[in-house]
Amino acid sequence: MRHAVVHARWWIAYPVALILLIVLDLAVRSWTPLPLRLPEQYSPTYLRLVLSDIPRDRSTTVLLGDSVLWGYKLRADQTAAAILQTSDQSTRIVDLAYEGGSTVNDDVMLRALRRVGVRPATVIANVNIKEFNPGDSAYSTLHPSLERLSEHALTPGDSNVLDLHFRNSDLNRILNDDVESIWRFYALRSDLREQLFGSDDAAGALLALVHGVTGERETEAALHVPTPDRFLGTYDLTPIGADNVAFTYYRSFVDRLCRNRIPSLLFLTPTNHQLLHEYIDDPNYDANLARLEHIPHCSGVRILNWDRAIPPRYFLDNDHLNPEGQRRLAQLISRALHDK
Amino acid sequence: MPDPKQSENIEWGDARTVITTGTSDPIAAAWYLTSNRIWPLIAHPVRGPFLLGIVLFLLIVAMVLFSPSTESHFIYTDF
Repeated sequence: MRHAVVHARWWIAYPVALILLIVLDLAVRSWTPLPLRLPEQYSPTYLRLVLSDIPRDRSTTVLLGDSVLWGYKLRADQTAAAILQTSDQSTRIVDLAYEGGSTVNDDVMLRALRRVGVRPATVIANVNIKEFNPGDSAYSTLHPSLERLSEHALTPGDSNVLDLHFRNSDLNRILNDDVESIWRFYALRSDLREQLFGSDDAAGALLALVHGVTGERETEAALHVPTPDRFLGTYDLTPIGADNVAFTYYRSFVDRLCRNRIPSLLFLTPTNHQLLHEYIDDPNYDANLARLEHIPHCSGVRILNWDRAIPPRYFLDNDHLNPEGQRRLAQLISRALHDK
Repeated sequence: MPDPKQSENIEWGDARTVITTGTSDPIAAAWYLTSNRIWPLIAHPVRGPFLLGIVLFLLIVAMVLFSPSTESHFIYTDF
């Protein structure tokens, strides 16, 4: 008697895997992030989703700026943005500040907002004088995700003066972009890792865990206690002129706000003068602050000098604020918005 | 030829017995589980390809999630 031999159809494994990947991708595509603030690391796709999810009505206030407004070393709910949102539920606060922000980034981010049709009711931005120092990491550098999101909209002028990372396309980049364009799960991989591991990647999370167990984290924290010598060279007292890239983009940012008739509140970032006394308590520093405060601007844009507005005890370091500092900053912003 | 379900003349019963009672012959136990419990699932002409598809899917997802981060990393030099 002959037995019928049933051959397994192994090729079925491929469509099964593909169907599961499509189901996963549909689930990921239903994720519409509109976070209290941007995460530490975010992908161009994530930023595009955040920008497209911003309400188009006239009740949206957008915050632009750097880690001071983002809330360095603080929880999202301790930031000035969160405090402002809690105190005024009628306005939707969208905090687009991030670590590594600067006026260069603000200008390009505003262009990105306008491209997707967002015209905020108000823009609030901090202007940090340290980022006008050519030695600063954000002086002429865009956040990689903002750069990639905006790369087709950057002008030749931008390419000439900005330190761009993705100027050249190689095969790896082309393949990567193609896969990202069709596979959302892959495009959002850095954001998913951030959500899953609370870190850039699994290795980073594991390292943090090991450092926590071995006590290395406390040792590192002790080594990073801010002392004045750490800020040697952070602030450039050379007069800020037209050849300064950050200044050029600052002026462009203010012009763009005026042209688009967006009411705006720009403030010079509060700074810890007690910690930085030997470097910044100097007439040249104040002259630079005056240059930033008094650039030509329309009546809809207000530029306020809050450099000395917050007492030293509310700082974590040179300019980052502790929770009480953020609360005071929120009060200053709220008062300024009501006084207009 | 020794009975694959026996080791040192002990009746294995099923996989649960091995796990709950422990054994002085873990290699035989592992072999039994692999050859008599797991492999039949994989080798099954209908269930096998579906199982392999799921494994393939999990491998791809794990590769994406557990690969080291090199993208969108802004080097923040505060100090």
